[in-house]
Amino acid sequence: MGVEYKAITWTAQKKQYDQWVLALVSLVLVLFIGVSIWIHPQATKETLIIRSSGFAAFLVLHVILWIGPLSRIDKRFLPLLYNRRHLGVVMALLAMVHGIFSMIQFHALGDTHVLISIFTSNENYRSISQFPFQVLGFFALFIISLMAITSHDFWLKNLGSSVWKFVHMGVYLAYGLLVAHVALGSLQYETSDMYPIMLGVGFLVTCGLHTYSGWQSLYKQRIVKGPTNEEKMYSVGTFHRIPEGGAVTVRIEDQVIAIYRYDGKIAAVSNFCRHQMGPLGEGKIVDGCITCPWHGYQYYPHNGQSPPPYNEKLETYNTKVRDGQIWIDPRPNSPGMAVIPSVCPNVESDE
Amino acid sequence: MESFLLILIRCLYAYLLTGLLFYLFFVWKGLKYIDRPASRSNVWFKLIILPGIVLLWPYLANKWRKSRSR
Repeated sequence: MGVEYKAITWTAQKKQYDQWVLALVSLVLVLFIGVSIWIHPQATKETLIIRSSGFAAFLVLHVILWIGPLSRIDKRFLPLLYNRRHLGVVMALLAMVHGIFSMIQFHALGDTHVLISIFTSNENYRSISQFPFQVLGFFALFIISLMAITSHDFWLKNLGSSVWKFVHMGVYLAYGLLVAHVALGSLQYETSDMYPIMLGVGFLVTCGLHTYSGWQSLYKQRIVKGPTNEEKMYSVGTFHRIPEGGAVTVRIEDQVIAIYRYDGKIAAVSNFCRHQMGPLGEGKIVDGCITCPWHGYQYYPHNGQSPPPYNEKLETYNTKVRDGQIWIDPRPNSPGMAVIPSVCPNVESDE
Repeated sequence: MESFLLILIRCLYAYLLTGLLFYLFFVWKGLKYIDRPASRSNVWFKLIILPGIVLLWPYLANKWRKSRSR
């Protein structure tokens, strides 16, 4: 990013999205509290706050984890992906309410320091049925909070996309901890089968969607092993198989490359968006720029540079088109280095 | 065990307090060295990045030190 930051970037579309999120989360909270009061009329306000915020946070976390694979399987889900960051912050706030009220209710009223009490009030670490599940929730809350406070683009730029991505992949560790937190908690305190069933369904759907979308991405990504020409360029097929304004993704040696066809030309750039390493090969050309399917970051196809005032740069690759065959040199050029796009022959007859 | 944990907690408090003091100084003097657009941004943005700076201040201090030595 090369322009000033805003605390929160709200476009008209994002405002609408956030209003929907707030309305749906409020509905979940109201429904959960209503049903809880109906089933357990003796429940205290603190218990209702703890349980409703925990339930809503875990539900939103599932939605967050489903949005990624769903938008890879079906592009109609992409608008949900653009604003996933705000959903993550809402989830973190709900999780903080759950965590803070739980700490006050269960650990802050004695003589022992609250943080020590979390780890020592129940020391059955070797028991499954009596395991101190709150410890798992504590670590999950730490990861989720760390993700929320580093979610701004300032952190993406200053931590670097690899570190930032590593921190934010922690969501899967947090999810695993929370599955165990909820499973062990409901095992100790719940008599109804409802929670284990919901947890099992949520877990299976999450695993299923990730497995399916991962398999589909691998299937779409062609691994090219040859043949090579005298310039050590690899043949990756004919240009006809790339739709105009679209791309294919190939893996050659250790490089994952997005090959774009636009205005009768072929250009190749690194497949990984500088923003959050989104798959550029699954994007398209919008306003003459390669556009990332995840958050709409843009790059010129011929030099991999973001249009001004932004300054992100991708590695580019040298290409050639001979007899309709595309050839790629898998040795990347420096980020932002201009290359002459290859011209597709007889493009008009192909259209 | 408990006294050891109490020492750890006091260290944590000291770390976070240092982070808070670092934040004030960093936003005033250091931000422009590592991210000029951030130093020009408004007060709400600077408040949004407060928790992250308090938590990750050694990383930013190192980055600031490197940017000054360049």
